[in-house]
Amino acid sequence: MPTKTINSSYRADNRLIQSRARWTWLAILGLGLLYLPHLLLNREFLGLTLSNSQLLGLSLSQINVALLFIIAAVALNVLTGYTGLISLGNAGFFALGAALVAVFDLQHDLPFVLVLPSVAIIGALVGVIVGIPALRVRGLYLLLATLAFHQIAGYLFLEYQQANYGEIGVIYAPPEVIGRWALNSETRWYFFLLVLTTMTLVGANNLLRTRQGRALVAIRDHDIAAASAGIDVNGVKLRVFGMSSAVITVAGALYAWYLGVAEASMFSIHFALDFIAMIIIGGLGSINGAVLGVLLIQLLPQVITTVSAQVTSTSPMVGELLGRNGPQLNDIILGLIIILIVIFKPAGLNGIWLSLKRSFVRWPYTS
Amino acid sequence: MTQFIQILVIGLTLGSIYAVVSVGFVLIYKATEVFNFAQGNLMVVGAYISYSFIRGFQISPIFAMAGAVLAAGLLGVLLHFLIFRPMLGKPVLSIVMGTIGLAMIINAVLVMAYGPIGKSYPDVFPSEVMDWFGVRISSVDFIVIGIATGCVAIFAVFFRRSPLGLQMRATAENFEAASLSGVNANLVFATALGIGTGLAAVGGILLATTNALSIGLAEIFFLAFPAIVIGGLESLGGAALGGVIVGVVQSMAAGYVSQDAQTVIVYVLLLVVLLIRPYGLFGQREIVRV
Repeated sequence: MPTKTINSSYRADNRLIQSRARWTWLAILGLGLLYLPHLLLNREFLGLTLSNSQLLGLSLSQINVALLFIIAAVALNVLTGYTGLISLGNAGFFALGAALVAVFDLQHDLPFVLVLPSVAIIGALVGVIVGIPALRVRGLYLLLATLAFHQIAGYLFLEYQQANYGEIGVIYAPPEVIGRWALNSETRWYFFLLVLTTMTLVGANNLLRTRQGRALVAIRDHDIAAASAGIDVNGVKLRVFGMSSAVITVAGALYAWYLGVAEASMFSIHFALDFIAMIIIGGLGSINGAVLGVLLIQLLPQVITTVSAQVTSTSPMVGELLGRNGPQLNDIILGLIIILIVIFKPAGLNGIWLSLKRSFVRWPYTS
Repeated sequence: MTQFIQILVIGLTLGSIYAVVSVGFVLIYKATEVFNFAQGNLMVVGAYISYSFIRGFQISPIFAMAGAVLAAGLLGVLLHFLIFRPMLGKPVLSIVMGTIGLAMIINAVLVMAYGPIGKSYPDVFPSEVMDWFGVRISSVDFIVIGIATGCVAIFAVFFRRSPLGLQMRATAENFEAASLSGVNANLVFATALGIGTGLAAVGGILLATTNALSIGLAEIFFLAFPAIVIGGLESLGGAALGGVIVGVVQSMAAGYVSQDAQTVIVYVLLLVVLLIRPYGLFGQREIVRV
């Protein structure tokens, strides 16, 4: 039973969605995603009422944050997974996005359709500047250079926040997208973010089909060989930094708008490292992996809370222990997952999924 | 002028702590090529263990601190076999992420064991305020600088003179050639990890005597990165010197610019060094086979 279609033309080979079966699965996924708000808000599935713990205690707000993080993680994966440029700048770009929204929306009251593109353009420019060290150093040193950017961006945001808004942080009103229609409910945010996430995923998947995308992978694999093949390595590096930074900054802007408040301590190094964890757990260089990684890291605290709530009813002591140390347990499990994946399965969750598919297809000749 | 000297002394104290931790870090990196993000957390582990020894078991301070350093070293060897050794040979980002995972675990375990609130470290060093021509310096600072310098010096002697140090240098220079000459690479790696962790513990204990003891101390390690880069990622002497430089720069920034700006200014210095001379003051240009 083949999992891939056999293509008879270049055009067929180049298609993004290769088989009928895949279209069907995507359609089912799409229908499921459209139904999701109803499921989570009303807690019923086609008439069947579901309990809180069956839904893992999820609410639409966590899905929304997960969608935002998916956008940022996919952009980071294009930068780090496809092109091999290690960057800890995520938190810095998020802070930049939040600050830009504060300046454009609150101070100057620009309309929404102008704010997002301006944020993207400025994010791209800052990204190109941050990418300049990438021309000079590589690997570990680039990590440290982006760490320096993170510290600088955090400091500038702190100064901006303290100068204009005080200790609580910058406070945002829900954005008015078109006319009076504002993003002021979870469902509205959900569909808006769903559109953006789909665009990002399609764009990132599409990138590999293009000449520029292949250039990125060539640079990751061996940049001197890529240069000798005629790729403008420096130009491509700056461009990919600019592009991914633009997307991440926009994600940061939306994050600030969504949360309603942005405070300097939110954009900590832990935040930036979480993103790297997401793409490494998911599998470096795979877009689906980025999605899986984000979902794992976002949902893990929920699972722990739900499990500890369950356990409390049967065994109060263990439940209390879990409840008190929830965040620590979350960190321990996450750390263990990271270490196990790094040591045993560097291809990440996506790699696990692919090998499951492969052994399913080849059964009983699985290795 | 007196303010300048005061700031300088604080900078030297901080810098000597950075030097100890950075030497430990560079030792681990030179030996196993593992970029140990968890070094800061290992510092805090050492400090907490010594705290438990002093407060919990009522051991006298000197033995408690030495014991904590020893315990941290053993923990380092254990971590080597469990985590660092399987990670050898993996790509850089994976190794960094693995040590970050380790850092998360250590952090979480410490919070679970000791609680999130900081504790005040017992006064183990005589703290008189000495007055030199109007400059007020605490004797704790001098003792810290002394101990840190002593540790780095002892380690330097060990590294340069002892047979095991020779084996470590050989392994760091060329792994295969050293193995062919009969060096037990595993033993060398384990020793490097143990000493590196022990030095981190020393740094952590010294830091706890000057500040309060809390989980947040691990953040100090992020300021050691510039020290390591300035000195050169592969140079032990450079790491020590870089640590002192960063300490002094940070203290000057805190004193003359603002408290919030100290980290940023150190990192701007890091950025400048990375752009001008990425391999640091004492490092060598990396020669990579194409």
